Amino acid sequence: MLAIKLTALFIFLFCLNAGATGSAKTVTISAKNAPIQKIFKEIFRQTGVSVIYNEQLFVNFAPVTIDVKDATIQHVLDECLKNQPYSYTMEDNTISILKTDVLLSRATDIRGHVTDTLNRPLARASVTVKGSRKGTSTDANGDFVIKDAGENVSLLISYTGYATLEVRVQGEAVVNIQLREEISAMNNVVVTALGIERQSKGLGYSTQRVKGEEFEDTKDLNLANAMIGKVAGLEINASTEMFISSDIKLRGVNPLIVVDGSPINTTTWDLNYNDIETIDVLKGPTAAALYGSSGVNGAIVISLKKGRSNRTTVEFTSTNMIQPSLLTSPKVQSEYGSGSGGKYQYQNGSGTALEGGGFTWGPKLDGRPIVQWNSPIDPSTGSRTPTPWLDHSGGKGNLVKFLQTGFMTTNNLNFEAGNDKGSYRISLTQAYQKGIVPNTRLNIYGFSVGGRYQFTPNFEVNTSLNYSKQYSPNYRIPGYGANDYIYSLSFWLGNDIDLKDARNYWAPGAVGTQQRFAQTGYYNNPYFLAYQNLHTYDKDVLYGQISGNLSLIPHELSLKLRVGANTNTNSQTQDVPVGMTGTPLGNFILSDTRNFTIDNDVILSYNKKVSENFSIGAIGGASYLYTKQTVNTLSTSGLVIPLFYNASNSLNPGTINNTLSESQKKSVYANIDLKFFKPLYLTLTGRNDWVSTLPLVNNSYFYPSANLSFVFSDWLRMPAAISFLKIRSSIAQVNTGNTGSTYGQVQTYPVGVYNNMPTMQVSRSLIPSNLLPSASRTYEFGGNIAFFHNRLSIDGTYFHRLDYNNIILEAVSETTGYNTVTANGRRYVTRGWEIALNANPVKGNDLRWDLDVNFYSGHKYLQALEKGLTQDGYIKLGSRVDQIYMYPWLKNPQGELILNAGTGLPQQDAYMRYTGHYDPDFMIGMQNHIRYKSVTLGFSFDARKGGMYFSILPRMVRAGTSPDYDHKAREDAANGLSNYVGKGVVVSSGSVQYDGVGNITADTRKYAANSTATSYESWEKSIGNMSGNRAESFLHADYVKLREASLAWQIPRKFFGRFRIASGEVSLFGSNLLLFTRKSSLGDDPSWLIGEGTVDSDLKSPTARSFGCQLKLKF
Amino acid sequence: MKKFLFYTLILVCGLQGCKKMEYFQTNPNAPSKPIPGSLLTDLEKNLFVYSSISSNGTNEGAYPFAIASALQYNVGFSNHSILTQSYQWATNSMDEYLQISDALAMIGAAGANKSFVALGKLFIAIEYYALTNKFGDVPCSQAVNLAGGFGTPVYDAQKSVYGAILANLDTANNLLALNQGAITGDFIYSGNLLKWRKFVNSFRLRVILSLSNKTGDDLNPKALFAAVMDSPAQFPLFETNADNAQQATNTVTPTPFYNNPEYVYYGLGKAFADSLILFKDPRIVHWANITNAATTAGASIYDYNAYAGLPADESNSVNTANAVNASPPNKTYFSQANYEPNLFMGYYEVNFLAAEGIARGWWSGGDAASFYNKGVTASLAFYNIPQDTINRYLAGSHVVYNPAVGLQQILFQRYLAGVYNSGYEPYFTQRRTGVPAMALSGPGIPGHLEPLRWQYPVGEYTLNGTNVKAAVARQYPEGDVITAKMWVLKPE
Repeated sequence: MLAIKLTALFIFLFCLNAGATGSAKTVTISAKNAPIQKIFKEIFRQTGVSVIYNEQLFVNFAPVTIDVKDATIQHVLDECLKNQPYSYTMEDNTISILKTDVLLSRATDIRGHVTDTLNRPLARASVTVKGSRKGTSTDANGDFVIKDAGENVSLLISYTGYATLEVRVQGEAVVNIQLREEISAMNNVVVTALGIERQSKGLGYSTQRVKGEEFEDTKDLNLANAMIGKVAGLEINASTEMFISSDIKLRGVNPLIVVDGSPINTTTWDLNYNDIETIDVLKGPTAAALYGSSGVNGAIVISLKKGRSNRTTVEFTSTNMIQPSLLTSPKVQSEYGSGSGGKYQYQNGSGTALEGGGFTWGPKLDGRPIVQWNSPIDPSTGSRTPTPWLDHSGGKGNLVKFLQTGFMTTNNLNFEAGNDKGSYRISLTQAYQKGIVPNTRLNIYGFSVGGRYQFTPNFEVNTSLNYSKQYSPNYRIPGYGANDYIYSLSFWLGNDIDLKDARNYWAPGAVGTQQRFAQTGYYNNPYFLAYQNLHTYDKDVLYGQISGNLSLIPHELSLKLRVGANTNTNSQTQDVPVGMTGTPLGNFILSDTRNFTIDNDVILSYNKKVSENFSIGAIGGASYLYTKQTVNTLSTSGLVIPLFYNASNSLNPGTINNTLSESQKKSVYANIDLKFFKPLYLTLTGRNDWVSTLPLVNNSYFYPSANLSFVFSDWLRMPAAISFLKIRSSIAQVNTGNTGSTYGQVQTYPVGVYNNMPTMQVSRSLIPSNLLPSASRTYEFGGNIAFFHNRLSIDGTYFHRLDYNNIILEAVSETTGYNTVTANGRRYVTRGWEIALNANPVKGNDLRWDLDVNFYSGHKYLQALEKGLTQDGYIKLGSRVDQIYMYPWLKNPQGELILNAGTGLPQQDAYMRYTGHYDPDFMIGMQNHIRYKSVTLGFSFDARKGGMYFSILPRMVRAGTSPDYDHKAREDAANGLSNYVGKGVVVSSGSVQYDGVGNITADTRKYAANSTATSYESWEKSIGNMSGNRAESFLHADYVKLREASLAWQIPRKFFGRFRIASGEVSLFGSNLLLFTRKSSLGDDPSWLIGEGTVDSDLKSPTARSFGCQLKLKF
Repeated sequence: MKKFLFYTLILVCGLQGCKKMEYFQTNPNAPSKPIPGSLLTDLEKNLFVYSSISSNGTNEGAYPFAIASALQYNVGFSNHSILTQSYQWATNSMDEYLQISDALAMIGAAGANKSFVALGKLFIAIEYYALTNKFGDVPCSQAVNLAGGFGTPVYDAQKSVYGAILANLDTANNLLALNQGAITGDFIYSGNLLKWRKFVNSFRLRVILSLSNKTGDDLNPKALFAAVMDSPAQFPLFETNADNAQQATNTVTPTPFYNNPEYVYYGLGKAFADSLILFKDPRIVHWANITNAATTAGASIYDYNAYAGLPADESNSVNTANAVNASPPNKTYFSQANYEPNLFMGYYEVNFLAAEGIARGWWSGGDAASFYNKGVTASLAFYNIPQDTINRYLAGSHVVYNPAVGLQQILFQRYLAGVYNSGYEPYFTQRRTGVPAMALSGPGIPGHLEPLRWQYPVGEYTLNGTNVKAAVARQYPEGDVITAKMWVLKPE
């Protein structure tokens, strides 16, 4: 015995964590004189239950003979170990076999070695003794020692991204532990509403987790961009612009963002991915029921890192990337220059007369002599000497020539430390971006500290505080207009303009008052804009929370108090130089926005395992939320002194505006979790809100939810191939007292200023005094199935969301004196599917491939309208609400253009017609991680099928810059010929009559082929003329994008030599690598959309390809 | 532990009780009570904000080029203004009801101030006049009463809308005569109630004459006209250009042409230009520039032969090719914010209205010629043309009043005086009188039909469908089309 005690024990652990229960499973074994190890293997094969034992214990064990059918595991073990000095204990899915005399041992130190499944040591894994405060973490070799661990104890070994393992050991032992990476969500702990951690298998609704490491693959400064394609149902329209927040939609609506339990008013620029432990996406209102009305659209719950117990690390990460090329940019022609009618001559830069009205329908860029803006002035005559008319952009277009290589760097240094009482983490981040647009850049500095401490055995405090400073001396604000460089360069300006020469942008002798450029009547010199029309951005964000948890009855009753606050201040200025086109007098604009939110919760929790078959968890709480926003803006009206940007420098009286918005919400809520027998979980919640944003008569409302989860695989014996099977369903009611604006329930008289006099109007929307909260009811049904020892797992959800009593601006006949009435009305149904697939197609010792696929498809339908109405605008009852109606060109039933007989040009339909849908048929995202030894290759695709979006680029046809044209016709037009006979028909006789909404009521039109010639220039200007809501501005939004690819190499320890570096990783990556779209000739990127559902004429920046490298070191 | 619980409760209650819900029921960013003077400023402002001529959104040039094209004062080329010029418009807006809502709020907030009540009535009349003349029948008796439960107001016959307009104007006139209450927020007349009263009655005269096809009707425009002419004390009218309902222009409130980029795509209409040349009209220098060809040849701007127009019914491509030979609108409209005041209704119009009534034989107490001369004089004086030039013009063979064609001359001079001012009124008058006849036969006007109205807004079909369909059915057997003739235009 002593020998055994002194000998290192090797415990081989079959670590499989299928959620099977040993007791419920049966085996059929027939063996004769078999080694006992073989029996154990057989048990594992049939039931998935691991048997943990010391190989040494059975060295001299007599072979066993057994023949049982559908016997319990206990029966088999009892049979085999009969009359032997062995005992065993059973946990959920492991059986530990012990030699009875070892149990008497008094030795208490435990040594161990933790590795992953490839036997690579895991440093800094946490090892704790179950039921005590003892614990440690592994060293760089994966080794650990726990002194005085006590006898007959269980160890809990955890490591981020790996399944936590419980191992029963005793005596002075060396325990070899292999941790398995988690590949399926079924046994994961997820953070649900109010920060409650729950095992995902007990959840009756859909959630999905993105772990910190996953979004570290993308190194974008904007966190939202790092989440694209990673969660089924999460649609992110990220932005190519600095500081412009991405549009995040969950099942088609904007979710709540919660950081460490506090719902915060944030942009995704405020969050630093280095500090994020996990992001749990609670997809529907059931999941977020406890957040109440703010969670009606689901929630993105972000947990920040807080350090780990018994662990001291220093981690440094440096990410650097460049943007040397563009994935997409508007395509331009470089065959013809500025002008109109094939003619151009510089006069004074006004753009009129011989300068061609700002178009690029001028002469061919064939070197002919033409008087240009920078042609030399002959001193003897005072007039300009013609210079050769050439393409100065090198065939690439001036936009590409104007843009520069972008650069981004992010450096993070963080420290973690802890002992058995608590831990903390400090993180410092510095980021810098140099934009692809000249003279744009941004800086971000972040500081975050978080930690927890156990003051007494019954009282723990948990806190985090985050500060971020975001600053830019100049960044681009996209827009379609003269004060945007991308507008003029991609759209209107000919490539005859030599940008090199435009770099010197002040007119001689008029520095500060007059710009120098080929054309200042409609456009600005792009360098003048980049270096003089500056937009600054300065934002401070501070958010934090502190929570205390008091255990009133250990493990049963506890009280939690949480206080969270979030404040941010954003100051922006704009310098508008004197001489800028459109605002020749110049301006200075200052805008300050402050947000403040406080949210407090007090929560009483009760947990009780009443019996083996029934346990209860209950929560009762109250919360208070207060928000305040002030916005102050100030603008001069012209400048007295050029280049001096201060509010005191106003030529005419300036304008000042301010708004103050305050609101509060008080709530009480309760949540009851019930677990019946093994497989059945039931959760009930209820919440009552009192809000300030509804009329007081209706500002209190209650709403409940219920969800049920049934784990089949815990109940029935599954075929060997199925390792897990669960179904779930839920129903949630959520009421919302949000009218769309803070004071949406209060009728006011909007004021304005006209010629220095105050003006007032009656509000164009009537607000009744009896508004009810809007309501939403969601039914959700889903399931989760895993095959082949969890190597393939599929999670599917179908949801049906009914929105009713919506607080809407109901359009009313203008003859009532109002445009709209704020009312409760309309019913919408949103139905959709989400599928998340996790697979592990290759799983060798050296080679491993992990694959995640996310799929989403959902649409919103109009189910009911106000009384008497059959359609809302153009949307008919029962049909999708994302339909696009716009004015198309007038066409006959055969689809041919009906041209104006007089002009030979297309005519616009007088009525809006169905053009398409905004929403995609489906979205899909795919992530791959392929690891070979210490090298990991990651790449991800995302794609969108169906749907349309608004693009301004089809209008380039009008400007004359589009490369899509008939070369012969254009040549004729440039030579002044009006010989272009447009393809289409003309009405030769008869007429058509429409009813009031554009349906044809009588049509006697006869058509003849068009024979009226016009100039090709007039034709193209006409075809490309899309002012107004033109159907032709809408393009198909399908795309497939290789969003990112990365190659990471885990640096072997020997490389560090005697440096005290625990681990290191180097990775190379690229993002925005490939894009496939329906209309790639435009050079537009439909995977970045600005504001779906609206006609937004902004010109986004081109999408740049990024390439970079990252170094990550742990000390 | 009991202590901890106690303090927790204190803390939570303390935090939760910090503000009462009532506190949040007041919007600190906007007043919750109407102020009559500020409502008035907004109503006045909107008199001078011209909407597009058609709400189906094609490129037809911002007002006033669109209306000027419809009246063939000017002609667009290079794919501009095609829709207006070729009379292919469809719907128009009913935004006037929003102004009526403001006017009613002003009346409601006026209290004992009868002057604000009177101005409210005047604005209501002005807006209904625009509405009914654009469409025909429009809601009136049930309109602008959503709080009263009228979400889908019925359409009233044009005749009863006219009745309401006249009644509102009568009330306004009587209330202003009481001189009870001062007016604030008034940039048109700076609170001068007499001038407002003159405006009320001058506008009333416009309404009366617009009923010239309805002399047999019980609205009896003839008698109404005679009453106005007989009792100047009861119905004071504009007496000089200083009484004009106009807005001084500056860079903050410029003319609608100022910096209007559409400017470069227009030339004078040929018929219009030819008349100005033939009449040797000195206003041409104000309205237009000489042609490019004439500029190159060094012609003087006072040389009438240096001006030329484009045929309004010619095809766009032909006009585009010939644009260089046409007179553009005066560049100063584009470059000078205060080139001329924005005129809603001028003294010239009152004179032409009086002259027209007399020429029609509605009143025998005066002389059409003298009102005609005063009208022409008022228009030329509006452009600061010296009196001796005006006298010379009035003596011209085509201008001097000739009773045989007096009505034609009155209406034609009113047409000329209406260039770029008075909103839709020159169009309403031309449509009512047929003077001058528009050029329709050329290839630029598909169908060669002249529009007489606008279609009802699409929104009415979706939001008030039953009522608008009933209104169409009873007025226009041919349907809601722009060539249908409304009641006020139908001769008896």
